[in-house]
Amino acid sequence: MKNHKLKNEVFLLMTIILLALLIGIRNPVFFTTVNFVSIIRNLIINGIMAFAIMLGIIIGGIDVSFPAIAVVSMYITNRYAESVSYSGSAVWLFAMAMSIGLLLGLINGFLITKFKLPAFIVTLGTSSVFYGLLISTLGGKQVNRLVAPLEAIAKAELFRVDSGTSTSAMPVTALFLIAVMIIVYFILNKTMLGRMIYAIGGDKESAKKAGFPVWRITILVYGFIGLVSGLAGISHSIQSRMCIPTDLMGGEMIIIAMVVLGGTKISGGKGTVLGTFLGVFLITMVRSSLILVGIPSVWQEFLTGVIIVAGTGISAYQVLKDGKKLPPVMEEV
Amino acid sequence: MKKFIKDADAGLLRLFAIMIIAFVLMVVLVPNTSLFLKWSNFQSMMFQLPEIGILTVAVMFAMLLGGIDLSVVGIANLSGILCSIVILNTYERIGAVSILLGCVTALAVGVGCGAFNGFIVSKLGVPAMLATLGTMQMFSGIGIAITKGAAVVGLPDEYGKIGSLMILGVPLIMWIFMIVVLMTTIILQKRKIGWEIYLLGTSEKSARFTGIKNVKVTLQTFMISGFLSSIAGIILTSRSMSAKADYGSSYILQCLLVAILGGISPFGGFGKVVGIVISIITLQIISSGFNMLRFSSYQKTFIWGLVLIFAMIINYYAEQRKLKKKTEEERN
Amino acid sequence: MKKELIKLKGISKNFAGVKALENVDLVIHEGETRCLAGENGGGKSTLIKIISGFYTPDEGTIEINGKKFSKLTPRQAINEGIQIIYQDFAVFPNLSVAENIALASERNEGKKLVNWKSIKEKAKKVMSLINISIDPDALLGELPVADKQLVAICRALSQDAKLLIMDEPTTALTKKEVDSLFGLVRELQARGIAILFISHKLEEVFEIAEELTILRNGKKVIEGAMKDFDSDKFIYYMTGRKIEQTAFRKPEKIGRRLLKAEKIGIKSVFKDVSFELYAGEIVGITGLLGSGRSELAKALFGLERLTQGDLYVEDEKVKLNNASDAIHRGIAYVPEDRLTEGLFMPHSITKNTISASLPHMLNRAGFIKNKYITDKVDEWIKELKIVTPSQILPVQSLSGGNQQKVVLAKWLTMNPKILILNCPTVGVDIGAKADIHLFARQLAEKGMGIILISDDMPEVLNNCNRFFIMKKGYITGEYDVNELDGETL
Repeated sequence: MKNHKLKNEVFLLMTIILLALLIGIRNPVFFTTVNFVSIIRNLIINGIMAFAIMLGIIIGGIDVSFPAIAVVSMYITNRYAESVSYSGSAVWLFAMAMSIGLLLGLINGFLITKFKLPAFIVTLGTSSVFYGLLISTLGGKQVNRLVAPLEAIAKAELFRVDSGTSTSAMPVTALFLIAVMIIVYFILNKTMLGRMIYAIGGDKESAKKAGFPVWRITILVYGFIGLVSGLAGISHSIQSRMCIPTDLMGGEMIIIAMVVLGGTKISGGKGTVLGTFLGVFLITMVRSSLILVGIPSVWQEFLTGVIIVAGTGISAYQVLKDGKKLPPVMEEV
Repeated sequence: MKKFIKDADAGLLRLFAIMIIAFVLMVVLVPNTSLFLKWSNFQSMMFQLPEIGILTVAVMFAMLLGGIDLSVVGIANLSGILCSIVILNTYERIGAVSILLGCVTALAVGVGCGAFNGFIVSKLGVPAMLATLGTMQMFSGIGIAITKGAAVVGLPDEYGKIGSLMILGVPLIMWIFMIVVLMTTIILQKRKIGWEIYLLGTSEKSARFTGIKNVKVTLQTFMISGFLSSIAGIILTSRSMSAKADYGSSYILQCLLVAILGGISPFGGFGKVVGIVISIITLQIISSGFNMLRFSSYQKTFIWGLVLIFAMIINYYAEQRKLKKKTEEERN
Repeated sequence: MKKELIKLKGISKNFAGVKALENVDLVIHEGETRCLAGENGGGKSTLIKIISGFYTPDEGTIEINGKKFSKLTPRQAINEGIQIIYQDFAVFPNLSVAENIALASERNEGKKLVNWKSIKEKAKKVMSLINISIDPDALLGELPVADKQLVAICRALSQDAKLLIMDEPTTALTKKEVDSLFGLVRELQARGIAILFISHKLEEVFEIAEELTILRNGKKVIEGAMKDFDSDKFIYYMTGRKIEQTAFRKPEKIGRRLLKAEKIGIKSVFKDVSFELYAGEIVGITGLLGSGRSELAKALFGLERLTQGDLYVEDEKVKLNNASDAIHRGIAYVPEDRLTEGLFMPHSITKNTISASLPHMLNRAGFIKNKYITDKVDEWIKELKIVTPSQILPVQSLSGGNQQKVVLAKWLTMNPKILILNCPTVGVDIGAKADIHLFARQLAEKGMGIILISDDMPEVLNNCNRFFIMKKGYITGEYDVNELDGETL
């Protein structure tokens, strides 16, 4: 089993290295720490969301409402903070955003389990409900300046790198991503809950027969997705130093693609933290590096699509070929 | 025996009832009822409906096979873009014939993109949702690269006629939609490939063991889907007299909404076009009513999400009741 | 007087109008080995799912270890020591062997965190208890069927099973593996674990069980000690009729040559297979699981490509690249696994029945002849006696035996010249088995050429006029049934 565990990740890593070399040869600026930091910067928010939905995909459900949850959490929190000129600890603002996310996620979980509906379709609906309701009631006005506590975090830097011509700072939000990764890793590999999530994703009926609390775990997973999406939302406003409610919307597919490219099967039951990170990194790296290679940014979407198609195509084709292979019956002569 | 036929189409009857309810609701809610009931209102509905309608039929084909085609809008836009470019480049030389040329180009692009989708799904074995997630990016990506993100404008007036022409009081594009619906119904109910699609959609393995040529059927299905998407693209660009790579980015959500509301099973193998017709009329009625009630697009989005969820909850309870009824019948 | 482990009284269960169980009583005592027998659709599976808490009965009471349960959950059943090995084992293909075995019991101990060392050790301990050793890190989905079953059994044992319920455990096993399993069962019996063994196979029931309960059509028809039953009595109560075990058939007349295989083979799977099939014959191909016989069957139907040799259908050389080619040549194939290979479960009987004959259901313009189809399907329902109120109902609403009939109808609709039956009676009860054999003989008499693939020697001997044995990819013998005199193979 260990062999299987690493095969996909190794393939991804090699692809990343190969592409990195190709890009770097074209433009050595790629190999600078400034560039590296900037790539990481770019992948933080998407990464947080990728790890949020990863659990959902493993358990067998595709949640497409997470950008909406992120936006709702981010927007309500920021508008509230602005309206009261909030000056207390930022922790409470985070708590607020994540609680909103948790609540919305639990609504998803409830609908999915109570009415036994497929997650994809339910979350399609709730995405519209959450977002539509938000803008209808609060209006779509941007928040152009973050309140002081959040602004402070936005300005803060973990560290900064200079290369003479340019400079880049690692934002505090990177810590959030690391924290989420550690937590997800812990859940999946060290807790009974995590193994049951894999089990349910592998065979839901068998999980029920084994006495696992399938519905309870499912609701929990969707709640978790909401919780972490809330974190992603408020982190996004911090990284962009503003709160624009139309951001993030429409980004669900690319993040699902990142997770799937990372080896998490869309049918459930399989997925690793390392793989997901590599998937996020690969797509972000390519998207960020096009300019360096002289490919006009107009090609960005096309190339992202090519990577997704190539990545999923190659791994699917391998599975197909393996499936067709007949087990050898005759003894070797 | 008749009772069973009724049961089988209970979903459609329910949907029809929802449509009537929606209509009545709108009539009641809209303050200026006479405005709502005016023929011109229905006419404008008929202008707006075909785009999403045809795109939904395109999505339906993929759904019948058990997958979801996320690339329909990408194909539509790309087709529209290439159609426009062809027209712009040949109009001076061959006049109105360039429009024909442009449309043929669009349709060819649609079929080609569809074939590409079909290839990845059938030959490489990538699940449709995933494959079309990638190809959607590719198709709209090509569109962006060609147009550099800007809109293609300057199309000749004749082209706009497609989107605005009326025949016997009904818009041309509505006629096109109705023809699409008719052809689709014929293909699905009366042609060999239609039945093969329905069968393949429930079990890929059984289909192979039954002599159905899975690869061929899948390829053809996605080609039909692409073809329909490009028709939608022509309509889209004709109505807006411009082509852009990111038109209708919210359309795919609406299409899935219409399809699922219309009874197309997301698991494959089941669903009829007539369901889509009823559900899109329903949504158009609601949409039109909302416009008159001055609902913002966000309010509309909100309501559509609710409609989808409630429709599925109603289906759930309906199934429960059906099972309970049968069990009680047995007891008595 | 042995203690009562489980006491079920008056259990009834309905599914969408179908009475699965009606007023069934069942008592299982500590340490006893009972067989629950019955035809497919007779209610056995439903009953054990009720015992396991997976289903809730519509009527009746459940008492386990003296405690009454109004709404038994799987968790509660497990806590009371009830463990079930389902027909599909209900294991997790994406988890390791060790996890499959030990995860549930670790959880039962209240652990919230995973202790990998503990899991691995537990798994090894349980495996050594029954003298097996499978790599604990292996991914379960990659193991052969028999190993998966062993893992399922280990899982049951690791949770202190007091009652082990096994649902048709021998369906996918070879003879050797069945013997192995029975040895295991005897060891468990020796440890005082009660065993409820579900089966419809004569030989097994008589070999393993001490007590017997027979269900038919959802009702308990008889119960008693095994020693009070004999083969005929067993069959009579199972099926409600007397079934003659008929002797082998001799074909009345043999017609033209339908199929000729000349040194056909698939690389590394089978080689140098040559044989002929004439109209009116039933030719058998037998061999152990993994002898290449399944792949040979599929190759004859175009589902696998030959890498050597030639195939002639009606003396015309053919190349079969897919099932469609084979069907075009008049070859039909009834697969081993009717659920995933033979039928489109959610679709109507109508659609299923004509699914292999679509090209024949079109008028000259290429349109589907709806009325023609409806009539034809009605004919088949009548002829094969398929029990259903309407042909538009989905086949998943039918009982197992009726589903198999739809599979047959599907292939007969295309008027095959050659019919390949791949293990047609696996998982089929005695009554339906006899029906299928009779029907096959009738078809042969009408001039069809039938190839019967099976690892059930009595079935082959009784129904074929000729047969081949395959071993590790080669044909090791060709026998004419008439020339055999009680020869043992």
